Amino acid sequence: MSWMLLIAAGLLEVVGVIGIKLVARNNNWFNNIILIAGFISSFQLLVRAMETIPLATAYAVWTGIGTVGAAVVGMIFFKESKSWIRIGCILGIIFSVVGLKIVS
Amino acid sequence: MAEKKDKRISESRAWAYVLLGGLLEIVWASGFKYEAIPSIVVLVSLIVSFDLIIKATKVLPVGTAYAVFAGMGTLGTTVVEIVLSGGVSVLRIVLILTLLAFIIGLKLSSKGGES
Repeated sequence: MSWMLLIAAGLLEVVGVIGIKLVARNNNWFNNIILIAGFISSFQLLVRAMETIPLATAYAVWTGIGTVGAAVVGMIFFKESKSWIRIGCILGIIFSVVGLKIVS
Repeated sequence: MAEKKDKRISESRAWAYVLLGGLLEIVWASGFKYEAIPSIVVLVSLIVSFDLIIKATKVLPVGTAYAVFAGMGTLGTTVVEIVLSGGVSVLRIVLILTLLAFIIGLKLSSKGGES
């Protein structure tokens, strides 16, 4: 359960990051709500997940999922590079997260 | 849009922001787990670290700045956990470092097609 919360926290961080990009483009109330709601819900779930998952693991996984999510969104919607190095890094992050889940 | 733009900070000042922001990131992330850190300290460090990193990335390459930031947060929380809960298994440290290496790789390769 904690791992589901942690993964959801990482994905909601991506919503917050998308909010930052949207606000930079168009600073209206709707985009600000996406930014604030994304981060607040992400932090709340991270705190809940950390009740059982150790600090270093939780932080690394949260940042890792946030990074993967932001990269995937960037590749699809913001025309960021889709090189094989980036795909390899994404797979490597997923692999490491699974490894951390297994040893926990 | 008649928004007023922030005055442009120097690059060395922006790097100082990244380092300070990274340290504050360690503080709030640790505060999420350990109640020894007061909520007000967690809240203030969270807000200030975000503000610093956003200001810094207006001057520095975003991928590089975030890579340093994520690196500091990851290594910092690992050190905090070792100190406060008496150790982390070697296997877990190896996995965390592997994860960090891929995060840095992904961040540094992000410039590609931006804008």
